[in-house]
Amino acid sequence: MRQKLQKILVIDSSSLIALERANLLGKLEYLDFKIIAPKTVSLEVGKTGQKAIRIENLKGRSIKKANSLVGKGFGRGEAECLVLADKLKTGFIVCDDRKLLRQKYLLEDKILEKIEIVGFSFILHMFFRKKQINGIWEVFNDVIEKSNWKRSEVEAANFVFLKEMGY
Amino acid sequence: MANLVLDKETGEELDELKKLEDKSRSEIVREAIRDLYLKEKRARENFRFFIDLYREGAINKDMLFILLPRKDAEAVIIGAKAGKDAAKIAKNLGY
Repeated sequence: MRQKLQKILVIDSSSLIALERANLLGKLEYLDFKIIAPKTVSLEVGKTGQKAIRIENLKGRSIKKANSLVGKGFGRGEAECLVLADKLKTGFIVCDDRKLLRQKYLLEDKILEKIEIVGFSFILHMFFRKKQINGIWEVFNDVIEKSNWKRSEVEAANFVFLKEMGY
Repeated sequence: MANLVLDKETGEELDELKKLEDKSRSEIVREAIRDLYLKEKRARENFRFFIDLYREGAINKDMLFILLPRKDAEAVIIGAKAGKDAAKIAKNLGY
């Protein structure tokens, strides 16, 4: 049965920076998703000039939840993404942070059980379907190389994603 | 060819291995270096090949730790789980 998820992408700085390095940020506007980044992420990335990315400020209880995650060892940007995704009930975030992938695998935490993590290759997959890129593996290799992710959890996760999607 | 400086604990472990395996200290050190070298070379040249083998179930976690350096084996195991979960999400979304 197909789970119904909202078409919102909450995106972390790790993925945004990787897309920027490969000159792909400008293509985000072609996606059928509303792309949201928490304020901390936008500060980490700096001005992108991308209108496709909406910046969201956390308020009230959401800030407390994010602070609690930071206290448990999560990065501030990743914590805010998780809380925002939980609030918006997206079910997942786009993130390529090695530490968060390890935490997802190793830690037992309520929010990590609810929120899945997809990587930059999810976005490449959609760019490919929208005919915004040719040859997905060339772009994949470019992103991995430019972000220094060779032989990491990030390379493995995104490689497996593409293989599972039939590339 | 080379002098090795070992701390007390490692020196004692080397002596114990020497007795257990009935090999010289040099042989044990050579084998250990060879093992590390091969693991590193496999990971550097064939990282994605091992990811694919593990993804397809052709090798298990134990084999990964035997064939690759520890950090690479961990990266494959954690990454494969994350990648498969991410693909389920994409398929659920109808992509």
